[in-house]
Amino acid sequence: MEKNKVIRTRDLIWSGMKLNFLQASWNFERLQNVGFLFSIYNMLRKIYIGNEEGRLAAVKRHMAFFNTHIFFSSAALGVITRLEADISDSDIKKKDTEIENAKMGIMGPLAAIGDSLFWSGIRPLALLLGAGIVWITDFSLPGWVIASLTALVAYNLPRFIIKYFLLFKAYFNYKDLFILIQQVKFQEIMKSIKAVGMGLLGIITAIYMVRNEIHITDNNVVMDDVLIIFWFLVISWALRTKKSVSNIFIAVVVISILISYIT
Amino acid sequence: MSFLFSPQLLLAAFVGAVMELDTYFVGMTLFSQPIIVGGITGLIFHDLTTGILIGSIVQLIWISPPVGAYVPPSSTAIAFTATALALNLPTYVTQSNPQELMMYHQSLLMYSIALGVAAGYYVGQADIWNRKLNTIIVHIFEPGILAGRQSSVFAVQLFSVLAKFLKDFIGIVLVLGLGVELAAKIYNSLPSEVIEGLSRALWLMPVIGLAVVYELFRSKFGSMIHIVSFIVCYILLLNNVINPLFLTLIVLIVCSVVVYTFVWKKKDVLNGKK
Repeated sequence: MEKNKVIRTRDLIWSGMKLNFLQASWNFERLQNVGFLFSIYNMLRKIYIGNEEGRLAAVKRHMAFFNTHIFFSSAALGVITRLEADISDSDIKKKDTEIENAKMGIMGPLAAIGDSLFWSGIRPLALLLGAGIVWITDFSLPGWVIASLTALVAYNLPRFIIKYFLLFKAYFNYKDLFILIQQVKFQEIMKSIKAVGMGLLGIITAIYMVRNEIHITDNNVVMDDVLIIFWFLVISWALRTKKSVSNIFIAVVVISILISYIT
Repeated sequence: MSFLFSPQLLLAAFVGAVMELDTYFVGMTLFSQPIIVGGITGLIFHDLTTGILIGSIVQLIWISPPVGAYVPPSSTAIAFTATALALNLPTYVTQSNPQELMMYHQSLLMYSIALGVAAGYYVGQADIWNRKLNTIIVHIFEPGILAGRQSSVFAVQLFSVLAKFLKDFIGIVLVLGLGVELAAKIYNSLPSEVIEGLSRALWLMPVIGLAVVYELFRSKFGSMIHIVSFIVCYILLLNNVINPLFLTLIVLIVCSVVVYTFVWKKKDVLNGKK
């Protein structure tokens, strides 16, 4: 049987599931190397069945440095599995070089896309949606359940679809994968996520101001709202000047205590 | 029975340590986010509302992803510790003036969040030790891996996860088991001005969160949407014209239409597609 025929859909799904442990043994020396080897191992066993020397060489290859975005790592897994199956074992050194070059070539771009799309887009939007629903439903149990489920689905559904789509596309048609990635309008997607997030933030801000039960002036609601807007602008400015959230947190606590001593 | 050995604390520590795994090491499915952790911790200590309140505040403040080499405090640990402290401190705290119950409640919440932040920093730093330990674990099992033993690969993964879990489990039991009474003693000794100041600071916590999200999503186009959405919703909600949940749905639909028109359709028109 041809080597690229021994990998079945269920093998890819199983490896995709094991990618959840990609960062379990993250280390400062070679980062996600063991996590990647752990995910690809079952497929290596099938590709190198009856070829112990080839399998050991492959294991050694994948103990080298590896680092990319956890959800986009499925694309790397698919491509590398395909190359392991396709490239001839006659010259192990040449195979080592080709696979290593392919790995190095795709890790960076995948990490950049993943960081931007998930960490700066989908994740904060899903969490904002969850936090918003919690505030709207007055911190009730049903509201919290809906909020948690909404946030989990809004984040995990694209995560699941992207991960497995990339895995299958990369394994069965990796040459088209990079053209496809280039065609995706990431800038527009990010712009859309940020705009929807801002709309959502508008209503959450309004709800906080209307429902806020803590008053720092003597029940003067207008003055309280003006102060909230003032502090919002001050904190936004501080964040824009690269002050860390933790420093702002400490500053707010210290200033609040100082005000209590003064007044 | 001392709080240190209570089944409630052990359950909380187990749940907290499992959730901490999801922050980076396993899955990253969002189960470990403060909004969920706060609620679950609240359920364990029988006050869901406080748990959700703390979770949602912490969520907004620490919503940003880590950038570069900066190790952020663990928002999971902040939400977990703050909720657990807020729900256990009242047993040990003495209120000097019953008339100022509300202020004491607010200051206690803020005090718990502040201590939670300290715990979050500790867990963030401790994760660096875990990663250093992982290097040692990899070195121990590497000969086996290179000899072709798949069990050695599995062992590296297992021991790495186990080390992280045990560190967090023991950490939570010790910090909460021994720390609650100590934290209460410190709180009881605070001057009234500090108590009042903490109460004021709680009022500003959601504002920090809102500003953080604003800066994360800020763009010229987005800022315009934010201002319009805020003004319209503020007026409608102030006059009690519409149900907030329904209003949120409308805002999401309107934003999606605006985005489609000004981001996607505009692009198609520029590309000559109609």
